[in-house]
Amino acid sequence: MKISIITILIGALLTPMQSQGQSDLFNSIKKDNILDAELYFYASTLRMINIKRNPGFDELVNGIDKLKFFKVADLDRKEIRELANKFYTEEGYEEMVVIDGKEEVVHVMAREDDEYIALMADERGMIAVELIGNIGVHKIPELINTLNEGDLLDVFEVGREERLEHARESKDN
Amino acid sequence: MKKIGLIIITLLAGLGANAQEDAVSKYFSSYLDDENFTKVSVTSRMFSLFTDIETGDENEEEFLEAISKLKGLKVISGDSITGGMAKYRSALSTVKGKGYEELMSVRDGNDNFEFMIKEKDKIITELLMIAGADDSFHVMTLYGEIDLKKITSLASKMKIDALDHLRKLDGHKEDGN
Repeated sequence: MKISIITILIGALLTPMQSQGQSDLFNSIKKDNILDAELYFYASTLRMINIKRNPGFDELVNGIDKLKFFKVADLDRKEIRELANKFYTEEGYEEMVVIDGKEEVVHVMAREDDEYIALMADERGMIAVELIGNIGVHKIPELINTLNEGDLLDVFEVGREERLEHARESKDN
Repeated sequence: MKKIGLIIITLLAGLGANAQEDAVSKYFSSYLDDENFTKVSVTSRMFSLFTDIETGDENEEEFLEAISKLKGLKVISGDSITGGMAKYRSALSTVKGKGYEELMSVRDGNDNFEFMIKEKDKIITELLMIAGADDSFHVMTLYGEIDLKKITSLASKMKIDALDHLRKLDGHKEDGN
Protein backbone atom coordinates (compact mmCIF):
# COMPACT_ATOMS: atom_id res chain seq x y z
CA MET A 1 0.00 0.00 0.00
CA LYS A 2 2.73 2.44 1.01
CA ILE A 3 4.96 1.32 -1.87
CA SER A 4 2.07 1.66 -4.31
CA ILE A 5 1.48 5.26 -3.27
CA ILE A 6 5.19 5.99 -3.57
CA THR A 7 5.19 4.38 -7.02
CA ILE A 8 2.24 6.51 -8.09
CA LEU A 9 4.01 9.61 -6.79
CA ILE A 10 7.26 8.74 -8.52
CA GLY A 11 5.47 7.82 -11.70
CA ALA A 12 3.09 10.69 -11.79
CA LEU A 13 5.50 13.31 -10.55
CA LEU A 14 9.02 12.37 -11.47
CA THR A 15 8.49 12.82 -15.14
CA PRO A 16 8.94 16.50 -16.12
CA MET A 17 10.55 17.14 -19.48
CA GLN A 18 10.91 19.58 -22.33
CA SER A 19 10.77 18.58 -25.93
CA GLN A 20 14.47 19.37 -26.41
CA GLY A 21 15.33 17.16 -23.45
CA GLN A 22 13.89 13.98 -24.85
CA SER A 23 16.01 10.90 -24.53
CA ASP A 24 16.87 9.02 -27.72
CA LEU A 25 16.93 5.77 -25.83
CA PHE A 26 13.53 6.48 -24.29
CA ASN A 27 12.12 7.17 -27.75
CA SER A 28 13.58 3.95 -29.11
CA ILE A 29 11.93 1.98 -26.29
CA LYS A 30 8.67 3.64 -27.22
CA LYS A 31 9.08 2.79 -30.89
CA ASP A 32 9.93 -0.87 -30.36
CA ASN A 33 8.00 -1.86 -27.28
CA ILE A 34 4.95 0.33 -26.83
CA LEU A 35 1.83 -1.58 -25.78
CA ASP A 36 -0.40 1.35 -25.02
CA ALA A 37 -0.67 4.88 -26.34
CA GLU A 38 1.75 7.45 -25.07
CA LEU A 39 0.15 9.84 -22.56
CA TYR A 40 1.28 13.44 -22.22
CA PHE A 41 0.58 15.57 -19.18
CA TYR A 42 1.29 19.11 -18.21
CA ALA A 43 0.86 20.59 -14.72
CA SER A 44 -2.65 21.67 -15.64
CA THR A 45 -3.72 18.21 -16.79
CA LEU A 46 -1.93 16.48 -13.92
CA ARG A 47 -4.05 18.52 -11.52
CA MET A 48 -7.09 16.98 -13.18
CA ILE A 49 -6.17 13.44 -12.09
CA ASN A 50 -6.26 14.71 -8.50
CA ILE A 51 -9.93 13.78 -8.21
CA LYS A 52 -10.06 14.22 -4.43
CA ARG A 53 -8.59 17.72 -4.77
CA ASN A 54 -5.64 17.10 -2.46
CA PRO A 55 -3.90 20.52 -2.26
CA GLY A 56 -0.50 18.93 -1.59
CA PHE A 57 -0.67 17.04 -4.88
CA ASP A 58 -1.29 20.23 -6.84
CA GLU A 59 1.77 21.83 -5.24
CA LEU A 60 3.76 18.71 -6.04
CA VAL A 61 3.04 18.95 -9.77
CA ASN A 62 2.98 22.72 -10.31
CA GLY A 63 6.61 22.84 -11.47
CA ILE A 64 6.27 20.04 -13.98
CA ASP A 65 6.63 21.22 -17.58
CA LYS A 66 5.82 17.93 -19.25
CA LEU A 67 5.28 14.35 -18.30
CA LYS A 68 4.80 11.45 -20.65
CA PHE A 69 4.40 7.76 -20.07
CA PHE A 70 3.34 4.58 -21.77
CA LYS A 71 3.08 0.89 -21.12
CA VAL A 72 5.77 -1.26 -22.64
CA ALA A 73 6.27 -4.98 -23.11
CA ASP A 74 7.22 -6.67 -19.84
CA LEU A 75 10.89 -7.09 -19.04
CA ASP A 76 12.27 -9.15 -16.18
CA ARG A 77 14.23 -7.48 -13.38
CA LYS A 78 17.61 -8.18 -14.97
CA GLU A 79 16.50 -6.75 -18.30
CA ILE A 80 15.17 -3.65 -16.56
CA ARG A 81 18.48 -3.26 -14.75
CA GLU A 82 20.37 -3.61 -18.05
CA LEU A 83 18.09 -1.03 -19.63
CA ALA A 84 18.68 1.37 -16.73
CA ASN A 85 22.43 0.86 -17.13
CA LYS A 86 22.13 1.89 -20.78
CA PHE A 87 20.62 5.21 -19.69
CA TYR A 88 23.57 5.72 -17.34
CA THR A 89 26.32 4.79 -19.78
CA GLU A 90 24.89 6.02 -23.07
CA GLU A 91 22.91 9.09 -22.09
CA GLY A 92 24.50 10.43 -18.93
CA TYR A 93 21.65 9.79 -16.51
CA GLU A 94 22.41 9.32 -12.82
CA GLU A 95 20.73 6.78 -10.59
CA MET A 96 18.35 8.30 -8.05
CA VAL A 97 16.19 5.51 -6.66
CA VAL A 98 16.11 1.77 -7.24
CA ILE A 99 13.47 -0.48 -5.69
CA ASP A 100 13.96 -4.12 -6.62
CA GLY A 101 11.31 -6.16 -4.87
CA LYS A 102 9.21 -9.27 -5.22
CA GLU A 103 6.17 -7.30 -6.29
CA GLU A 104 7.67 -4.37 -8.14
CA VAL A 105 10.81 -3.00 -9.72
CA VAL A 106 11.40 0.75 -9.97
CA HIS A 107 14.38 2.61 -11.42
CA VAL A 108 14.36 6.41 -11.27
CA MET A 109 17.18 8.44 -12.80
CA ALA A 110 17.98 12.06 -13.59
CA ARG A 111 19.98 14.14 -16.02
CA GLU A 112 20.73 17.86 -15.76
CA ASP A 113 18.50 19.68 -13.28
CA ASP A 114 15.14 18.79 -14.67
CA GLU A 115 15.13 15.63 -16.76
CA TYR A 116 13.93 12.42 -15.18
CA ILE A 117 13.18 8.91 -16.35
CA ALA A 118 11.44 6.15 -14.43
CA LEU A 119 11.08 2.50 -15.40
CA MET A 120 8.47 0.75 -13.26
CA ALA A 121 7.14 -2.79 -13.34
CA ASP A 122 4.63 -4.57 -11.14
CA GLU A 123 1.97 -7.24 -11.56
CA ARG A 124 0.00 -4.88 -13.83
CA GLY A 125 2.85 -4.54 -16.31
CA MET A 126 5.67 -2.17 -17.06
CA ILE A 127 5.52 1.60 -17.46
CA ALA A 128 8.18 3.93 -18.83
CA VAL A 129 7.99 7.55 -17.70
CA GLU A 130 9.82 10.65 -18.87
CA LEU A 131 9.47 13.97 -17.07
CA ILE A 132 10.81 17.47 -17.54
CA GLY A 133 10.44 20.09 -14.87
CA ASN A 134 10.60 20.32 -11.12
CA ILE A 135 8.75 18.43 -8.45
CA GLY A 136 7.53 19.88 -5.18
CA VAL A 137 9.40 17.26 -3.17
CA HIS A 138 8.69 19.05 0.12
CA LYS A 139 5.09 17.85 -0.22
CA ILE A 140 5.98 14.16 -0.19
CA PRO A 141 5.62 13.55 3.61
CA GLU A 142 2.26 15.31 3.61
CA LEU A 143 1.08 13.24 0.64
CA ILE A 144 2.21 9.97 2.19
CA ASN A 145 -0.03 10.83 5.11
CA THR A 146 -3.00 12.18 3.21
CA LEU A 147 -3.08 10.44 -0.16
CA ASN A 148 -5.05 7.21 -0.34
CA GLU A 149 -5.58 4.55 -2.96
CA GLY A 150 -8.20 5.87 -5.38
CA ASP A 151 -7.47 9.56 -4.74
CA LEU A 152 -5.77 9.82 -8.12
CA LEU A 153 -7.39 8.91 -11.38
CA ASP A 154 -5.89 5.81 -13.00
CA VAL A 155 -5.15 7.39 -16.36
CA PHE A 156 -4.42 4.07 -17.99
CA GLU A 157 -8.02 3.01 -17.47
CA VAL A 158 -9.51 6.13 -19.07
CA GLY A 159 -10.26 5.43 -22.72
CA ARG A 160 -7.99 2.38 -22.54
CA GLU A 161 -9.72 0.38 -25.27
CA GLU A 162 -9.71 3.30 -27.69
CA ARG A 163 -6.05 4.01 -27.04
CA LEU A 164 -5.09 0.36 -27.47
CA GLU A 165 -6.84 0.35 -30.81
CA HIS A 166 -5.04 3.54 -31.82
CA ALA A 167 -1.67 2.08 -30.76
CA ARG A 168 -2.30 -1.09 -32.77
CA GLU A 169 -3.15 0.97 -35.84
CA SER A 170 -0.05 3.13 -35.44
CA LYS A 171 2.17 0.08 -35.12
CA ASP A 172 0.64 -1.55 -38.21
CA ASN A 173 1.33 1.58 -40.20
CA MET B 1 60.30 12.49 7.23
CA LYS B 2 57.47 13.59 9.50
CA LYS B 3 55.57 14.79 6.42
CA ILE B 4 55.92 11.40 4.73
CA GLY B 5 54.63 9.75 7.91
CA LEU B 6 51.57 12.01 7.90
CA ILE B 7 50.89 11.21 4.25
CA ILE B 8 51.12 7.47 4.93
CA ILE B 9 48.80 7.76 7.94
CA THR B 10 46.32 9.79 5.89
CA LEU B 11 46.41 7.23 3.08
CA LEU B 12 45.97 4.33 5.48
CA ALA B 13 43.08 6.10 7.20
CA GLY B 14 41.45 6.56 3.81
CA LEU B 15 41.96 2.93 2.94
CA GLY B 16 40.50 1.93 6.30
CA ALA B 17 37.39 3.99 5.67
CA ASN B 18 37.02 2.47 2.21
CA ALA B 19 37.39 -1.02 3.64
CA GLN B 20 34.53 -0.34 6.06
CA GLU B 21 32.28 1.01 3.33
CA ASP B 22 33.18 -1.95 1.14
CA ALA B 23 32.18 -4.41 3.85
CA VAL B 24 28.64 -3.02 3.93
CA SER B 25 28.49 -2.57 0.14
CA LYS B 26 29.58 -6.15 -0.45
CA TYR B 27 26.95 -7.32 2.00
CA PHE B 28 24.27 -5.51 -0.01
CA SER B 29 25.71 -6.81 -3.30
CA SER B 30 25.40 -10.38 -2.08
CA TYR B 31 21.61 -9.97 -2.00
CA LEU B 32 21.37 -8.25 -5.39
CA ASP B 33 19.95 -11.25 -7.26
CA ASP B 34 18.03 -12.81 -4.38
CA GLU B 35 14.37 -12.38 -5.32
CA ASN B 36 13.22 -13.17 -1.79
CA PHE B 37 14.46 -9.78 -0.69
CA THR B 38 13.42 -6.28 -1.63
CA LYS B 39 16.39 -4.03 -2.25
CA VAL B 40 16.11 -0.25 -2.10
CA SER B 41 18.83 2.22 -2.99
CA VAL B 42 18.50 6.00 -2.84
CA THR B 43 21.50 8.03 -4.00
CA SER B 44 22.75 11.50 -3.20
CA ARG B 45 21.28 12.65 -6.54
CA MET B 46 17.83 12.06 -5.08
CA PHE B 47 18.59 13.82 -1.81
CA SER B 48 20.01 16.78 -3.73
CA LEU B 49 16.47 17.53 -4.90
CA PHE B 50 15.68 18.60 -1.36
CA THR B 51 18.33 21.32 -1.11
CA ASP B 52 17.79 25.02 -1.60
CA ILE B 53 14.02 24.89 -1.21
CA GLU B 54 12.31 27.51 0.91
CA THR B 55 8.72 26.79 1.76
CA GLY B 56 7.93 29.04 4.73
CA ASP B 57 6.22 26.11 6.44
CA GLU B 58 7.93 25.05 9.69
CA ASN B 59 7.16 21.33 9.29
CA GLU B 60 8.34 21.26 5.69
CA GLU B 61 11.51 23.20 6.54
CA GLU B 62 12.32 20.64 9.24
CA PHE B 63 11.79 17.81 6.77
CA LEU B 64 13.95 19.47 4.12
CA GLU B 65 16.73 20.26 6.58
CA ALA B 66 16.87 16.66 7.78
CA ILE B 67 16.83 15.09 4.37
CA SER B 68 19.03 17.51 2.40
CA LYS B 69 22.15 16.51 4.36
CA LEU B 70 21.76 12.82 3.59
CA LYS B 71 23.98 11.17 1.00
CA GLY B 72 22.43 7.77 0.55
CA LEU B 73 20.12 5.06 1.77
CA LYS B 74 20.27 1.32 1.18
CA VAL B 75 17.77 -1.25 2.39
CA ILE B 76 17.52 -5.03 2.18
CA SER B 77 14.18 -6.34 3.35
CA GLY B 78 12.85 -9.87 3.49
CA ASP B 79 9.59 -11.10 5.02
CA SER B 80 8.25 -14.65 5.04
CA ILE B 81 11.75 -16.04 4.67
CA THR B 82 13.52 -18.89 6.42
CA GLY B 83 16.56 -18.50 8.64
CA GLY B 84 15.92 -14.86 9.52
CA MET B 85 17.70 -15.07 12.86
CA ALA B 86 20.75 -16.76 11.34
CA LYS B 87 20.99 -13.94 8.79
CA TYR B 88 20.58 -11.40 11.60
CA ARG B 89 23.45 -12.93 13.60
CA SER B 90 25.60 -13.22 10.46
CA ALA B 91 25.03 -9.54 9.63
CA LEU B 92 25.96 -8.48 13.16
CA SER B 93 29.10 -10.56 12.88
CA THR B 94 29.94 -8.99 9.48
CA VAL B 95 29.85 -5.41 10.77
CA LYS B 96 31.60 -6.18 14.06
CA GLY B 97 34.95 -4.42 14.22
CA LYS B 98 34.11 -2.20 11.25
CA GLY B 99 33.99 1.00 13.27
CA TYR B 100 30.33 1.03 14.31
CA GLU B 101 29.27 2.12 17.76
CA GLU B 102 26.26 0.36 19.24
CA LEU B 103 23.44 2.81 19.72
CA MET B 104 20.52 0.71 20.85
CA SER B 105 19.24 -2.86 20.93
CA VAL B 106 15.52 -3.56 20.94
CA ARG B 107 13.68 -6.82 21.40
CA ASP B 108 10.02 -6.43 20.48
CA GLY B 109 8.25 -9.77 20.70
CA ASN B 110 10.09 -12.02 18.27
CA ASP B 111 11.70 -9.08 16.46
CA ASN B 112 15.25 -8.03 17.23
CA PHE B 113 16.64 -4.63 16.26
CA GLU B 114 20.20 -3.40 16.48
CA PHE B 115 20.95 0.25 15.77
CA MET B 116 24.55 1.33 15.22
CA ILE B 117 26.22 4.57 14.22
CA LYS B 118 29.49 5.83 12.87
CA GLU B 119 30.69 9.23 13.98
CA LYS B 120 33.30 11.61 12.61
CA ASP B 121 34.15 14.84 14.38
CA LYS B 122 31.10 14.36 16.62
CA ILE B 123 28.82 14.21 13.61
CA ILE B 124 26.91 11.01 12.92
CA THR B 125 27.86 9.94 9.41
CA GLU B 126 26.01 6.62 9.23
CA LEU B 127 23.04 4.98 10.90
CA LEU B 128 22.91 1.22 10.47
CA MET B 129 19.90 -0.85 11.48
CA ILE B 130 19.90 -4.64 11.44
CA ALA B 131 16.63 -6.39 12.27
CA GLY B 132 15.75 -10.03 12.37
CA ALA B 133 13.16 -12.55 13.47
CA ASP B 134 12.60 -16.21 12.62
CA ASP B 135 10.88 -15.34 9.35
CA SER B 136 12.23 -11.90 8.51
CA PHE B 137 15.48 -10.02 8.03
CA HIS B 138 16.09 -6.34 7.30
CA VAL B 139 19.19 -4.17 6.96
CA MET B 140 19.13 -0.42 6.46
CA THR B 141 22.05 1.96 6.18
CA LEU B 142 21.53 5.70 6.03
CA TYR B 143 24.58 7.85 5.45
CA GLY B 144 25.49 11.50 5.16
CA GLU B 145 25.16 14.04 7.96
CA ILE B 146 22.59 12.62 10.31
CA ASP B 147 20.63 14.40 13.00
CA LEU B 148 19.00 11.55 14.90
CA LYS B 149 16.21 13.66 16.36
CA LYS B 150 15.24 15.02 12.96
CA ILE B 151 15.53 11.60 11.31
CA THR B 152 13.30 10.10 14.01
CA SER B 153 10.73 12.81 13.42
CA LEU B 154 11.04 12.31 9.67
CA ALA B 155 10.62 8.54 9.97
CA SER B 156 7.45 9.08 11.95
CA LYS B 157 6.03 11.43 9.31
CA MET B 158 7.01 9.03 6.52
CA LYS B 159 5.47 6.10 8.45
CA ILE B 160 8.73 4.14 8.55
CA ASP B 161 7.75 1.85 11.41
CA ALA B 162 11.13 0.17 11.93
CA LEU B 163 12.76 3.49 12.78
CA ASP B 164 10.06 4.27 15.32
CA HIS B 165 12.24 2.53 17.90
CA LEU B 166 14.64 5.46 17.66
CA ARG B 167 12.11 7.42 19.69
CA LYS B 168 13.33 5.40 22.66
CA LEU B 169 16.62 7.29 22.41
CA ASP B 170 15.04 10.50 23.68
CA GLY B 171 16.79 11.41 26.90
CA HIS B 172 19.40 8.68 26.53
CA LYS B 173 21.74 10.03 23.88
CA GLU B 174 22.05 13.40 22.24
CA ASP B 175 22.32 13.52 18.49
CA GLY B 176 25.63 14.22 16.92
CA ASN B 177 24.98 17.80 15.86
